[in-house]
Amino acid sequence: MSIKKEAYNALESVVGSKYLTDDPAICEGYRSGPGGYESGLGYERVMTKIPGAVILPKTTEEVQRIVKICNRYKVPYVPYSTGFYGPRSHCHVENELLVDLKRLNHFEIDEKHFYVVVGSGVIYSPIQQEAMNKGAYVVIGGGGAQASAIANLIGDGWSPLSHRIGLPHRRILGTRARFTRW
Amino acid sequence: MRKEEMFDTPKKKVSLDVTNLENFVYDMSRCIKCKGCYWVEHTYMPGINFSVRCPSNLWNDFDAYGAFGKMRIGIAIQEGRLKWTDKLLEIIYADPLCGACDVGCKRNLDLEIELTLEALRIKAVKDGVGPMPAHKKIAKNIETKHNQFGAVHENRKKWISKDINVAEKADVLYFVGCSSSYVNQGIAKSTAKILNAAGTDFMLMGDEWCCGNTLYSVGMIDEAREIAKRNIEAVKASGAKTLLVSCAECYRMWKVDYPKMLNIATADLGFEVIHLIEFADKAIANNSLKPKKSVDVRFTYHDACSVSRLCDPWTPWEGERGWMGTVSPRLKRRRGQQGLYFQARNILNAIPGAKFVEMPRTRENALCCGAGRGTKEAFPELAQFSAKQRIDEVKYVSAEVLVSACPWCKTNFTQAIKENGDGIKVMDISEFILSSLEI
Repeated sequence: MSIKKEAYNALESVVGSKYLTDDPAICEGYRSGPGGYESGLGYERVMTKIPGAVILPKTTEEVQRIVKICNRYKVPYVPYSTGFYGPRSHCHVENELLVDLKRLNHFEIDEKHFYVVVGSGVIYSPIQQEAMNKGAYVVIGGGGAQASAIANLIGDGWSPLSHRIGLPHRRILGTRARFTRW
Repeated sequence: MRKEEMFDTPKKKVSLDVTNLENFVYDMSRCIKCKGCYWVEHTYMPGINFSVRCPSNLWNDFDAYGAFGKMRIGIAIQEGRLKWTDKLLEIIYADPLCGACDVGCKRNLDLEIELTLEALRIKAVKDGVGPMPAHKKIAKNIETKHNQFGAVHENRKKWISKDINVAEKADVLYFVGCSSSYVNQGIAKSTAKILNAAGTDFMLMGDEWCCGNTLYSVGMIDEAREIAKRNIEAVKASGAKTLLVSCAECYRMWKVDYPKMLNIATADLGFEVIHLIEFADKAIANNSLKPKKSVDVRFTYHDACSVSRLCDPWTPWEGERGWMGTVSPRLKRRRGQQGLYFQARNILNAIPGAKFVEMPRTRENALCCGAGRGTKEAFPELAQFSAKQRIDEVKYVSAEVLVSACPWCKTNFTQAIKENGDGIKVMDISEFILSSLEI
């Protein structure tokens, strides 16, 4: 199991050999496990696959280049922030590229306008603590303290606060975490 | 409640025996990647910096290097779906088994992560692929010279100086350990002088051998078990009531891993196992040890893994797992809550003149130095990486001195500081206590 060699070489030029692998043991580490309400239904066992390769980009620009390469070589790919709670963020077809976004962990806080810019690898609890350091708090969607803030808000959150249940599900071009003063 | 399902679910025999990976298939299969094993516990999350507790997964970002990846890999190994390769061995062994993942998981899911990781290494050895070459060299040293380093066995007691009184017979037996006997002799000297200053007689083993920490930690359980039997018999023969250690790894071995390997409870060893931290805490409280000399430094304390989250006493358990994973009889989990956290801080706060500042990650959430359990020998780059991460934290709180309670931490931090060119001094807690005594 692997992705096309030409695609692999092109991806390696984006992130370097350290952050791209098709090693079977490392790919096995990205096998889906049980998650929440899907646990016991067999979703993770029947419908998911282990990735053909895993890539760890650091910047948005690298993600853009990865997506372009995948389109050029017709490589299926799935974004993956923390892998928390289940099968949906894992691979569903053979020879798929898993784009692990945990290295996108940049964090920037605008104290004047009370907003943060975070990468997809940033989870809620550090954001909450940084907000609390400024006398503020951030509303946490239903994914919990260890969920990726971006992923949880965009697509898969488990609360009425998440966009999946709201109107903009899968139509979001940007998202914003806002603080509220105590 | 669905009573039929509850009572119809077949029960499966299970135990905490690390020689059989099958015992931990349930634990491996129930990981939901919440990453409680990776992040600092959220209640104590310091912010965007210092937010991770796992040294292995900080060193290598792929999921396979975190406990959540290893749980999936472990199932594949147990089911025979994954062949042993050099990369797979690196994944299993590039890990100080520091227990941060285990206590983190037990805030969420109660999975036995630490035991699973130990069982994976034992399986690697059983399958004939483990341990790593560097570990085999240590095993040879222990077999032939009875110490980790291959040093001359007869030199083991050379640390004893004329100003140290060692009794022929006493209730307390000081087990020095390899590192303090040969490499960090200042720790052995300081410990002995503290015992002398407190008026507590102590003896040494007639013929002290390595505790076997590396052997057990890398999966060589048969060899480690033989050493455990030999050492326990030696203590019993000495008539000692208390075994005192100054090394965190020795402490964990004697208190947890010896009973684990021999399938007995810590309480059934036949003698008490204590670390110098416990002794000094009590001695200061009852005034037999008086730290009076002012030590004018700003310092911080690193919770060594084996005197903190890894040292809850061991109790054997076997039973059945049934509906929804419930086990019977009741299993009291080891959550790392019985670590020597407050004892160490009692001592440090009693040192006059010294300003104690905590790092952002403390106690169960402390980041391992990265040296322990065979890691520094096989993956020195991981050990250095983790130590440097921790030293960044020391600098963050502007401490001049880093205090720990483990000779392996001291060696690793000292080396990392030397390579970095930082001006931080590393001291063992025994040396720090001694510096405050008027002797």
